[in-house]
Amino acid sequence: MAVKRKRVKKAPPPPNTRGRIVILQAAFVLMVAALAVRLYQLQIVQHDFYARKVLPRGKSLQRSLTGGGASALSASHRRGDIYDRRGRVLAVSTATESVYGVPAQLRREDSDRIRKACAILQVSSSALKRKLDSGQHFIWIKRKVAPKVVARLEELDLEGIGFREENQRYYPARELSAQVLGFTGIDNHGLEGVELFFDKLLSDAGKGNVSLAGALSTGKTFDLAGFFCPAADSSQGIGKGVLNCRLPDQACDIFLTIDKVIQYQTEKELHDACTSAKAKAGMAIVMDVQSAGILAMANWPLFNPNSFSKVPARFRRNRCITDAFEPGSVFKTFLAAAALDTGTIGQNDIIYCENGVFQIGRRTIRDTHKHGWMTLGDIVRVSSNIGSAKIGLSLEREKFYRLVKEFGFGSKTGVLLPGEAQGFIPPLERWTDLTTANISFGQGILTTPLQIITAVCCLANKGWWREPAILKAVAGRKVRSVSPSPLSGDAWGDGNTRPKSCFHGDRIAEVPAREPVRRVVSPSVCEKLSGMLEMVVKEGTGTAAFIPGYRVAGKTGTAQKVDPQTRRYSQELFCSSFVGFFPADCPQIAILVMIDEPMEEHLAGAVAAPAFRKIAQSIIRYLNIPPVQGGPAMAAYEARAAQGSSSRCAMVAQGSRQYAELAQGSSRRAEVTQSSGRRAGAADRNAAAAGDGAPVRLNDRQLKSVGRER
Amino acid sequence: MIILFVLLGLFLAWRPIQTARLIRDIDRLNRLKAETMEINVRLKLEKATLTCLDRVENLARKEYGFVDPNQNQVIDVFIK
Repeated sequence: MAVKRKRVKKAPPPPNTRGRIVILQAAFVLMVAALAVRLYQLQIVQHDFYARKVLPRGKSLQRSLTGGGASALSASHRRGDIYDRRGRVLAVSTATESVYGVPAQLRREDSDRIRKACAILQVSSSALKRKLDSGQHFIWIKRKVAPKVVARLEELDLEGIGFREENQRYYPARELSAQVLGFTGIDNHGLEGVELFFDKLLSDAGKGNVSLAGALSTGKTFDLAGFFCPAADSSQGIGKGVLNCRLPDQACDIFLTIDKVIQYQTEKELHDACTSAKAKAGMAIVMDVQSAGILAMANWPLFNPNSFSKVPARFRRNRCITDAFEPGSVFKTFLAAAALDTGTIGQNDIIYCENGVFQIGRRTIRDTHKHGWMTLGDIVRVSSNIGSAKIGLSLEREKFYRLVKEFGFGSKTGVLLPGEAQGFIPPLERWTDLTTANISFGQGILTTPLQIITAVCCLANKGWWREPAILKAVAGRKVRSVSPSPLSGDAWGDGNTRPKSCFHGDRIAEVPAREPVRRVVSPSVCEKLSGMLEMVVKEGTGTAAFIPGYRVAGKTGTAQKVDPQTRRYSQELFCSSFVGFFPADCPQIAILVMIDEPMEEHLAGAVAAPAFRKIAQSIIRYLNIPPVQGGPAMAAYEARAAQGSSSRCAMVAQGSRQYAELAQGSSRRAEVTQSSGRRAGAADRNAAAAGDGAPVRLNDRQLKSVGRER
Repeated sequence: MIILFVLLGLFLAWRPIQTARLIRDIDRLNRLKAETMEINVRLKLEKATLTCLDRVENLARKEYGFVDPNQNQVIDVFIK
């Protein structure tokens, strides 16, 4: 069946349709033309402008990134800064450029231009050629170059050379506390010191849950509960001693307990002492007695961490914690503490010191001067080896050993620094009479300088032993902000203001003050010992540490060193040290100075004690520690304050008189010392005639009769 | 009707353009912030270098001829 198609008749177009079509076409063409013009403008005319906006490194980088396999490179993260306790910069990172090459593209370059680039970078062209021929797709040509070098390289417009932004670590104070701070390697990871110990805190952690105790490379208890804000914390382990927390996913700045000014003064005085004594090395530590915070830790010789590779590794070691020495007579302080604490020897007991020669088995112990009968205080004051040996032998070995261990000798102090040595105390079962006698005057054991000053701080702190602290606070965006503690007012300095100059700036959290670990000796023993140590400075071996107007307590120690060739105690190699604290009535600062192998003069009283005094005097001024209450200096000061004199001339005159009076007082004291020494000698003879060398307990009247002038 | 469509088209086109512009602004400001912070770090470094105690002492001694005072010229003033 045929289907009949219906023919539909088209309607005629409206009369203006053609015109509309033309208008639309024209509009379309115009739009396309406008787009083309804009594209031309963006891509061709303003190309450089936008390229600079997107990639500040310029054409070379753009070409390399687009042409080579280096497009996956990302900018390295910034490492946190290190500040001192008052927010002054100790280490900071800044952006710098590293030059890399894409061998496939570089090989196409003109050899002359490559040679020019090598000259600019101070790289040998043969070394670069070897790298190019190594078959790698990416090579570092030079890391961390100066901006001027980068600008000159960019002018060369080399194909296949690019720049990557990296961070360069700078230590603006150069040698200052170099051994404590340590340094970082080429990849910005800590290699020594604080940089190594707090590496994960300073660098971008961002690795999820990390045990902070592990991150800090210590198995020691380190409670930072509540240190980071909840988002950054995991609940595991908080409050249990060892903190397992989620480290913040960004670098933190850290604040140390080190004080830049005290550190500088300490290093300066240590340098002077070591150079004048022609010593092999020197160490000094300044510690805040109350908090056990390390205010300064100096090593000599110094080195510049900005160019650490130029210095032998032995200079880069923080010998205050990594090296152990025989403490020598300094150890008599702890022997006296043990004797008093156990009640074996009383203050008034006298001991015969054998006129300078004492035989134990086959070993002869000698004193530098002949001494007869002496009290415990005198033995400490004149540093008698024989007296100390006799006291040591009269002590119960177990008790003596336990106290030595409780003072922290023979174990790490737990300071948050890498490479701490634990020293050496012979096991109790190996203690013979000779061992005990040796240990009594500081031979046959090994202690680090930090252990000694921590133990002295324990005595100054009423017998409470605290772990030394180096970390004061942490700053970062995810750090929990804490309200200022009573400690922070003084500790931060400058009133109650907190440091404002830190990079991340907004949140600073103080490390909680550590609780005392244990009480080693009673406060009464500490008080008695403090008096004895004061006498060491006033009349004994440490008079060079005397500071007019202040009560200083301290002890000298001149330890013979073992000659590595003969393996016997050398008569020429010594380790001279002085450790003390001040003001003795209310201890604030403890200082240890140790001079290793002085050549000019080896007695600690002549080598280390003057350095102690100079460091202490500078700290007194810096920390505004007033003179002793009721003393001549304080009286003069108070008289001046009462007068309300505003005239500087008057103050200068008064100050001069005050100092002159003090100097006179000091010389009078020296005369008294000499005369009392003569009287004591007579008393020694009398007492020696009395009988054997066993301790004798005297009453006050008898003490007077043997010429003690106290 | 056409006008309505055109307006709708313009509105739809304006939103991503505005978003892109804002993203670009944020990016620019972030970069500016980073640059400013870098300048801040460099200034901090320069300040720390210039106030380095060793340098200050050297300047005082060598350039300005300062010397240590005698003991009787020193007056310690303690602020209570």
